[in-house]
Amino acid sequence: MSEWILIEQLRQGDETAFKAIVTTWKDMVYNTALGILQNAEDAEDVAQEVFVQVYESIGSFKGESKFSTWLYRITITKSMDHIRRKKRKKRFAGIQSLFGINNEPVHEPPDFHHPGISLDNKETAAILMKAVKGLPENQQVAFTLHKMEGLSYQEVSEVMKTTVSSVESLLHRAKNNLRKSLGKYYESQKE
Amino acid sequence: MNTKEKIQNALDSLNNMQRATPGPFFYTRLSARLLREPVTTWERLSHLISRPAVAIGALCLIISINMAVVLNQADESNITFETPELALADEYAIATTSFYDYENGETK
Repeated sequence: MSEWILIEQLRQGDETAFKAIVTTWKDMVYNTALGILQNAEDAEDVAQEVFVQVYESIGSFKGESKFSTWLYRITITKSMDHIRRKKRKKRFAGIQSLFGINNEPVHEPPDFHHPGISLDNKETAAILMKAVKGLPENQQVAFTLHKMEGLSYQEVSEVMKTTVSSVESLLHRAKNNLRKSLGKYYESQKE
Repeated sequence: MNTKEKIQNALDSLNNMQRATPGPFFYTRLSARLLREPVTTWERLSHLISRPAVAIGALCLIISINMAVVLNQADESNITFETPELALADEYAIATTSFYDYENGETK
């Protein structure tokens, strides 16, 4: 069934259409969220939030861009909001521990292993993912969309509402930054 | 393997990766979430207030309103302090012309 028919049916409150939309795009939404959040539980939570928003605000989708582009934008916004919320909680917990209110130790998350990476690349990819986490927001988004979702520069630019040359520049800077932090990591391993 | 090669290896490690998929019964969990009680206005409001930017902004606004009120009242009270006798006379109705004076004047 065409996506436009599904969207039109969802606008009329058809639950079957919603189920078809979720089935078609759930992997795309989940994989994008997972790439940014690097935590399976958080990615599932955000993927659900994305579809709840789709259900509630399908009326605001004007069709000026592709439906998948709209979904990518919601996913990225929600994922970034999730990261900010987590950072805020972490900061608050830090302040609480200063005053001795919350003495629970703050655990560093373990290395993230993406389930879609082949076994022989798992360890190396985990090191790369850790470095990706340290990138500035927009570089991280561009890198995730291009490398993990396999979007072209043109598609990334549409999702990020920017030009193709900006995406090229973002990815170039992202790779440079990754080279620097990976270099530091491997040098520290030598010592 | 030198560091440069290791870095290139790491950068290439995401090539040909497969898409991750959410756990089974994703739609069931999503439906359950959709059926959950809708968020009340109070919950939305408390969520909004708990944002640091909003909370700090509101605090600054409250402090500035308080300052403005205090300064304004201090200005008003300055005027009163200038003429304490008049204020006292006003409050206790001690006027120069009294009822008796008026009556006395009339009887004369």
